Amino acid sequence: MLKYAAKRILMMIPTLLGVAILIFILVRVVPGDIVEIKYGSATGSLVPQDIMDAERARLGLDKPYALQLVDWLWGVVRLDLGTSLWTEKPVIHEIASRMPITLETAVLSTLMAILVAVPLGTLAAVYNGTVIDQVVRVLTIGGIAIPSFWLGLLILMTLLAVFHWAPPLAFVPFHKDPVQNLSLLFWPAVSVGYRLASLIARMIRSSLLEVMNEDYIRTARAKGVREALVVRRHALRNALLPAITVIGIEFALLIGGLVVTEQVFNLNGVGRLFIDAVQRSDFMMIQGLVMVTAVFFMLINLIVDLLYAALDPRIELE
Amino acid sequence: MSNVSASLSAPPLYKRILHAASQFVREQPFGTVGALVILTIGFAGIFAEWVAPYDPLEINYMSTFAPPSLEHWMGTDDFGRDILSRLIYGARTAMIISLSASLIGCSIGGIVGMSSAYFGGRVDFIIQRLMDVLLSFPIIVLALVVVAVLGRNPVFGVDMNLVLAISIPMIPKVSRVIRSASLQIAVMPYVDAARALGFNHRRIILRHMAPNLVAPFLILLTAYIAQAILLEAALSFLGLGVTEPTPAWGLMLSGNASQFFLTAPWVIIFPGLAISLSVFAFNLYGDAMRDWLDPKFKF
Repeated sequence: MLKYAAKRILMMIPTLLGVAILIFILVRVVPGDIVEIKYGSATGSLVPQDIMDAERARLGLDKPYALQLVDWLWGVVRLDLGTSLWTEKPVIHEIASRMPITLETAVLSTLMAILVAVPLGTLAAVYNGTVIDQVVRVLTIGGIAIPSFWLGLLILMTLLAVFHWAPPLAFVPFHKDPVQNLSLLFWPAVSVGYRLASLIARMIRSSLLEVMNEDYIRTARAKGVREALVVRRHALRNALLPAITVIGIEFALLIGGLVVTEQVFNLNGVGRLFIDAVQRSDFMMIQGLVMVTAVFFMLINLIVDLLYAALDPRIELE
Repeated sequence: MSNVSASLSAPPLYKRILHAASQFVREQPFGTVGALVILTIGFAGIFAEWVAPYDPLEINYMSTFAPPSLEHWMGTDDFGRDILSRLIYGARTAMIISLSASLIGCSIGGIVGMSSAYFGGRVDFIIQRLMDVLLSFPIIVLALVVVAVLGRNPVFGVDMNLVLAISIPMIPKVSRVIRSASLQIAVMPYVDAARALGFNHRRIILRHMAPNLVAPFLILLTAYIAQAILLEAALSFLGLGVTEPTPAWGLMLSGNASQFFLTAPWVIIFPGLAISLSVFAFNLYGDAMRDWLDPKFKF
């Protein structure tokens, strides 16, 4: 297993190199750069060319692309993502300061989704074809169809109109003030968690239905095990495995997927940082964010695969 | 596909399509409901000029935020524009963008996947690593970057670069699925026979392999239309997708729409319902298509 993990981590290096080069090229194809945006030349203000050139030189944007690329790649190797062209602080610090809010929302929504989805999916499979199954089906199809940002808007609307309450404006870490922390992040987590819960519940329902036809389930029933135990101990354990993949991949995608929800709830997370960076053509920030999300995505994928193998001895990692 | 009847002379194409359609309606009631909703939305979008009660761009400061009434079924927005009419024209925007994005994404992904399976070896390895790179960009991040990079390029009022931005994230996923489906086909005797006859690679891939991958292609196509609608709505909501004054569902929810939701909730409620309903319909239809064409197909 260790050998497999090491091999996978080694395999990540060329992929990450590809990501680093691709994003470097992509952001530089964008017409207009941060200097023009800073001095508002797009809106028609006339700043002398030499001032703009001096600013470009100061930010290192006048260097040849090949040199910039080498700088960038060498930085990535040393875990130095450069400095933001806008705030002129280290990119890695900017991302790290925004990460807790995004990460916590992602974890919170995933946890809530699992807590809701596992029982729902199980019920739907056990009572396959009954009213319960139909209700779960409608709920979960709804969860996949409803855009999370619209759900977020509806939640905010209801909170304000019915309860005359709005989430607090400032983020405080959980360990400092759990109540304020949760009252800020709970609703964003619900609005993205609904979709996640629907995906997981559907996965559990279908894999549970598949497992329930296996021989060992019939054996368990034949030897007189109570149905509840058959479902819990024999079936669900096996049915949870495919769900782990879905949970892992969706969790990894959430870091990027929270972009829209953060906008709705006015959260100052990584997603907001990303949108700001795109609008300001802050190359270094965009590059850094893409690298961080890519590493995160790959690591989660690796963890999922390892977990999968650890839980299911039938799977052999090659 | 099931029920392939072997008759001496094949019935004409329209009869076969009619037969397949009637079979689908009988076997897949949920899918039929989905298809009907899609047809209704599509019809409204195509004939928007005749269906919509008002001009979607007509600003009327005399009746801003009018609540739903007989005159304006879904009320009016902050510019006094009729929301129902904007939704109907928005259906056209959503359908054009999502259909073409899904078609482009699934076609490119399909060709990449088929080539990867057909050539195998080093080509396969390189293509798959490239797909790994694309796959490790989060969807919305990739779309945002593509939109930022390409700028805007309206063709017939639809931003083709937005279409590309929505279709590019599909490519790695579609190519994975199509690749694994093609692996079984690439070793079939008829592919070997085509090779032996000396056909070129393009002809073998497009004429011999592709027709056998129509079922997974159609399943993916429908599934990704639903995703494209959601992604377009999200991008427009962020102000990076469709731009004013083009009516688009996500755009109707963006900007200052959220500041008025206490006084005029209909401004928020109806566009979201339109997005959800159409995605819902495509999901119902897509699920039924999968059950009907290939129940074991997973993606």
